[in-house]
Amino acid sequence: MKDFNIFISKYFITLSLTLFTISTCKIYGQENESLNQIFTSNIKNIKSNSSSISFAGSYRFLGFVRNQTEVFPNNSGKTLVLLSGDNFREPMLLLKLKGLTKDKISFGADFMLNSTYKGPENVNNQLTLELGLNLRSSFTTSFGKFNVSSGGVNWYRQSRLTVWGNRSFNRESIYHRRPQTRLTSTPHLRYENYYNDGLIDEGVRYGNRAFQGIFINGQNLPKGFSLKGVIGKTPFNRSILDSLSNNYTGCFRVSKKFKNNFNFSYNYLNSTNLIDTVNNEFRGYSINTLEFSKKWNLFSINLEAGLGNYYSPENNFNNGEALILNISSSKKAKYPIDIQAYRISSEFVNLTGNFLNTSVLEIFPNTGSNNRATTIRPQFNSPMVGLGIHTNNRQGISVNTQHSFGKLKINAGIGISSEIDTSISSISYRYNVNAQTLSRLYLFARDWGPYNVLNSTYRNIFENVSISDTNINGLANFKKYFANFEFQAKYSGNLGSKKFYIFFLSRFNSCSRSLHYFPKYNLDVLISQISNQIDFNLEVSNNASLILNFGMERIIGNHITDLGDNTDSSGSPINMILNRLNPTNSIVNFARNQRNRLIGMGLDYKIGKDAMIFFRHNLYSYHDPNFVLNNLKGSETMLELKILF
Amino acid sequence: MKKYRSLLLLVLYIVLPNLYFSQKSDKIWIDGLGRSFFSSDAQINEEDTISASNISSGYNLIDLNTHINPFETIEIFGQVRIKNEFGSFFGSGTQIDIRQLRASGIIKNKVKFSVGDLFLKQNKFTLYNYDEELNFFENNYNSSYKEIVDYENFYFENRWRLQGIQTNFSYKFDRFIRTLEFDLFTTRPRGSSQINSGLNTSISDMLISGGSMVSKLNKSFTAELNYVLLKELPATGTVERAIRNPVYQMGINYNNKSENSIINHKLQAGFSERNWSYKSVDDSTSELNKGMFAEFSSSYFKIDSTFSLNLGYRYVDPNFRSSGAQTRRIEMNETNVGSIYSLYSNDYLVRPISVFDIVTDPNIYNQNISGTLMSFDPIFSNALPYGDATPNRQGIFLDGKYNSKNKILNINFKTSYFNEVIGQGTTQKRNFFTILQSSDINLKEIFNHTKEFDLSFSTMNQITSREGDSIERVNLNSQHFNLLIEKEILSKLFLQLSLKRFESKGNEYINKRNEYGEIFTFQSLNIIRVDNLYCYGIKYKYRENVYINLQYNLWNSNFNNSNYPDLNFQRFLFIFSIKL
Repeated sequence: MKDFNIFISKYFITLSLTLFTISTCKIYGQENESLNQIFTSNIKNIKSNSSSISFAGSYRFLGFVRNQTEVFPNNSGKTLVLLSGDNFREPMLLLKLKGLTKDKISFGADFMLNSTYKGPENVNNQLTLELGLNLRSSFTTSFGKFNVSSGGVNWYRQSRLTVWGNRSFNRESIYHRRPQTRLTSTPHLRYENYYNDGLIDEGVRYGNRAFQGIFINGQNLPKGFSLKGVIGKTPFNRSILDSLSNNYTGCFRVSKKFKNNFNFSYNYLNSTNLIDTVNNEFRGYSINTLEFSKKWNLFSINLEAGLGNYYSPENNFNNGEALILNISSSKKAKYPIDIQAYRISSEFVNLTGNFLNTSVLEIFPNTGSNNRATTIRPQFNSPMVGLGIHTNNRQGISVNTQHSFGKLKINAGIGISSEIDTSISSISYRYNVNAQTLSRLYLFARDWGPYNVLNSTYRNIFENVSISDTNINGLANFKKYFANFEFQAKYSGNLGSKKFYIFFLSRFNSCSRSLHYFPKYNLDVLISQISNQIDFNLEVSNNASLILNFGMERIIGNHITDLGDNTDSSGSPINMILNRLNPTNSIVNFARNQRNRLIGMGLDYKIGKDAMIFFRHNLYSYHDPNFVLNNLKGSETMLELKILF
Repeated sequence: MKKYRSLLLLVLYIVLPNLYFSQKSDKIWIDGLGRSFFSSDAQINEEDTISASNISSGYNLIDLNTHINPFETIEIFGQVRIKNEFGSFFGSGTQIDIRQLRASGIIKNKVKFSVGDLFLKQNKFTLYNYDEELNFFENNYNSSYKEIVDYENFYFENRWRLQGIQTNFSYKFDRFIRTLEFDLFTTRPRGSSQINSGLNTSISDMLISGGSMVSKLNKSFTAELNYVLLKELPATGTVERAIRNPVYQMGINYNNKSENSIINHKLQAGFSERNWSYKSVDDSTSELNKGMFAEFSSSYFKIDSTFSLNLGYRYVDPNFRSSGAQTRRIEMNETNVGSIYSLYSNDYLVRPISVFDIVTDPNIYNQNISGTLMSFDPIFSNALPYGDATPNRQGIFLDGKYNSKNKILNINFKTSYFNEVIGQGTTQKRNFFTILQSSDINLKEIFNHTKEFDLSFSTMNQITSREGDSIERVNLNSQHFNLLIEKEILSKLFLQLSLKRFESKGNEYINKRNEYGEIFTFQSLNIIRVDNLYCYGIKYKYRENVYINLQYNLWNSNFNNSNYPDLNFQRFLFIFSIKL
C-alpha cells in the first residue's frame, strides 16, 4: 500500500505541477493546429462517415392472470398465477436496429428487453436479441441483380414441398391475439379486414421458415430466369453434439418465366444432421421437385411434383414421390372454387416443407433442456389435420368454395385423405378450443398431463391417442382414413350507428378405418372431433371495439382407442343433446369423450397513434368424464399494451 | 459482467432516443463493423479415426461504435458488440458486450486527454506491439483473415490496447528550441483477480505507466526521451512477489531534406532494470536484471517515394528487459492451441501451432503485457522473436524499397545479420542471417487490361547457425514463400489464388524459462517441417475492408516425425465484412 501511495503521489504531483504551469504561464503560446502534429502515444481521433442508423420497434406489456379452479392431480397447489408476459419468449421492448452503410449494405439486429417485474430480488433484465443479426447487400451486374444476405434468423420460403410455412387466411377464431399480430389504425379495422379478406397479418414468420446462413437471390437474369437459395441451418439442424456440428440445410430454386403467365421452376433441398462425429454418420434427406404454374382468365393451375429420399442409420429410403396440385377458379367467379389434390409418400421426408413428417421420428433433433425440443417437433403420430395441411404417407383431395349472400359470406371446404401405407398405431390431433390456454400450462413439454399424452408447441397443443388394433410390427392393423369439413359464416351489420361482425366457424374431422366422404361423429370411427366457435365484434367507438367469443369442442374415441379410467360402467354419452332428450337410449363410450369450452370477452382500445390496449378474459374448461383426471377449469385474464415506434 | 450490462443499458437508454436527432445535430454519430463468418473444416488424415471428420462454426456480429460529442472538444466513445453464434436460434448463443469505452478531449485547447480504452505506442524499445511471425511488409496474401485477427485482438498500428489515462501537451518556443512536447500515461493492463476462491488468494494489479518528452530542436534535429515503468502493486493482491521493470530511452534524430530526397540519421540508446520485490521482506529484491541497448541507423528516401534505403547497427544487451516492447503476440507453448482440432490423431496429441493457425486464428493471439519473456518457436522467428527489442543481439540491418514510376513493379526487401552477445548454455554464439523480399507486379499495366490483375510473391529465408561440438552446434534453416494472384473478372469481383509454403529444417534448442524468465534448460529440437496453405476463392470488394469473400483452403503440416502424424485439413469459408 505504501508503494502504491508513493507511486500515485508522484504522478499526482507531476500532473498538478504540469497543469499549473500550463494554465498560468503566458510566455509561450499554443496553436490549435499544432495539437495534431505533436508527439502522442495515443491514436488520433478521426471522424469517419457515419452510417445511417434508425430504430423502430414496439413495447408490449402483457399482464397475465390465471386462476385455476380445477387442476391436474400433479399440481403443486399453486392455482393462481400472476405474470408479466405469459412465459413464452416474447420481447417486451423490441428495438429493431436498421442501418445502411454508404456502400448501400444494410444491417440489422433486433434487441429484446424483458422484465419479469418480480421485485428487486428477481432482477432478470437481460438484453438479448430476439432473432439475430443480418447483413444484406445487393449488386447489379450485366447478368442481373443479386441480393446477398448472411446471418439470421431470416424468414425464407421456396415451394410447398421444399420450404414453406402455413399462413392463416381464414378459418381461425379472431378472438385470440398473437404477440406478432400487427396493430391496425383503428381497433375495428382488424375485424373489418377479416370480414372482407379473411387475412390476418400475423407477421412475416407465418408462412416462412426460420433460417440462418447465407442467402442469395438473383433477379432479372438472362432469358427470364431467376434464382434464390440458402445454405445454412434451420431449427431442425440443431444438434446434441455442440454448435460445431456439421448440420446444414441447403436449398435453391431456379425459375423461368414464359409468356402467357406460364412459370416453371426447379427446386432442390438437402438437409443433413451429423449424429456420429467419429463414424461420420448422418441423418438427412434430399428433395428435387419441378413446379409449373399457369394462369388463364377463368382458372389457374399450380403443380409441384418431385422425388425425395431419406437416409439414416435407422432407416434408408429410396426415392419417394410427392405431388401437390392446385386448381383454382378466378376470384371473380360467382362461386369461386379451389381444388387441391396431393400425394406424399412416406419416403418423402422434409421438416421445412408445407407438410408434416409422419414417417421417421428420429429426424427430429433432441436438443434443449431434457432433450424436449418440442419447440420444433410438431405432430408425428398420424396427425388429424385440417384442410390445407398435409402430411407425408398420405394422399387426399379437398374442395373449397365460397359465396356471398348479401352481407352474409360463407365459405366451406370438404376433404378426404388416406394413408398410403399403414403407420404407427396412434393418432394425434390438435385442439381448436383452449389450445393457447393449455399450452401455457406447461411450455414446450412432451408427453405431459395426467395421462402423458399432451404435447405443447408454440401457442398450441396436441394429443396422442393409442390404437389397440395392431399388427405384429406394432403398427396399426389398417390404413387410416381422414375426412374433414369446415364451414365459416361471416355476417356484418349495424346496431344503431355501430357496426358489428359475427364470425361463425365450424370444424369437423374424423379418422376411421375405412373411407368416408364426410366426417362422422359416432363410434364407428376411431376419433371424431367437432368444434364450433363464434366471435362477435361490436364497434363501440372509433377507438374501442368489443369482442366476445364462445367456443365448444367435442372429441370422442371408439373402443379401439385408449380407454379411460372411469369406473362407472354406464359410460359417458357422446351426444349431450340426445342424452338429455332420451337418456336411456343415449350412445355412450369409454374412450375419449372430451369437452372443451371457452367463453371469452375482450375489449380493444386505441389510446393513441400506434398504441392500443387489449383486454381479454377467458373462462375455460377442459373435461373428459372417461378420463377423470382430465379436468381443468379456470379463468385467464390478459391485459396487453402495445405501442409501436 | 452485471456492471457492464447495466452500463450498456444505460448507454442504450440514453443514446437511442437521441439517435434521430444525432443525425442532425452531429452530437452523436455511429460507425463500426459488421461481419458474418462461417467456416466448415474437415480433417483428411487417414490415420485419425477418432477426431470428427467435419466441424463447422460461425457467427454474425455487429460492433456499434457510438461517438457522443457533447461539445466539440469532448468525445465519449462506446463500442457495443452484438454477436450471435451460427446455429443458435431465437436468442440462444447471443452475446452483447461492451468492447470499448473511452472519453477523450482537449482541455482549454491545450491539453489532450483520454480515459478508458487506449491504444498506446511509444518507442520500439519501450512500448511497441511488434507484428507476429510470418507477417512482413503488411502483405495482402490472406488479408481477410489478417483483418479479423488484428481487429479481434485490437492490433492497430503496432499499439497495445491498454486501459487507463493518457494526456499530452506541448509548448512552442520562438528561441533556442522550437517545441517541447510531453506525453504521459498510466494504465492497468491487468487488474487484481481471484486465483483461488477457497484460499481467497488473488493476483495483484499491474500498472504500466510512462512518459515521453520530444523536442524539435531546430529544423533538422529532434531529441526524444521515453520512459516506461511496468509495476505490480503487491498490496492489491495476496501474491508474495511483485515485478518492477522501468525502461529508459533517449534518442536524437537528424533530418536533412533536399529537393529530391531526405537523409535521416537516428541514434538512440537506453537501459532497463527488472526485479521482483517481496511483501514479507522489506526492501528486498531479487533476480535483478540490468541491460542496455543502442542503435544507429541512416536512411535515404526519395521524395517521390520510388526508392528508400535504411542501414543500421543495433546492440541489445542480454539482460535488457522491456515488457512493453518484448511482449509477443503469440505465446508458443503447449497451452496455446488452435481453435479447431486442437487435439488430433488417435493418441489425442496436442496439435502444434501451424502456419494456418498463425494466419487464421484470432484466439491464439495475446493481448496482455507480459513481465517476462514469452516463449517462441525458433522455426518461425529465431533471429528477432521479440522484434527490434530482442535481447542478446547485435548486428547490422538493411532494408529498402523500390517502386517503379510506371507502377508496374514494387519491391520491398529486408536483410539483417545478427549474432548473440553471449552464448546460451555455451560460450559459442549463434549467428542469424535473414533475408526477405516482397514483390508486387501489376499485370494489368503490363498486359493493358482494363480490370485489375496483380501478382505478388514474397520469400523469406532465415538461417541460424552456431559452431561448436556436436551438442553446441546449431543449424536451422527456415524458408517461407508466398504467392498471390488476384484477377478482377467482373467489376469489383476478384478471383484469388494464394499459396503459402513454410519449410524449416535443421536443429535448434528451445529455451525453457522459469517464472522469473530465466533460462533453466534447453529442449533439443530436430526438425524437418513443411507447412502449406493453399487458398482460392472469389472476393467481391465494395471497397477497402468491405467485401464478401468465399474461400476454399487446403492446408497441411508435415512433421516428418513418427511421433507426430502429419496434418491435412481443408476449410470452406465465407466472410461478409462491412464497415459501418
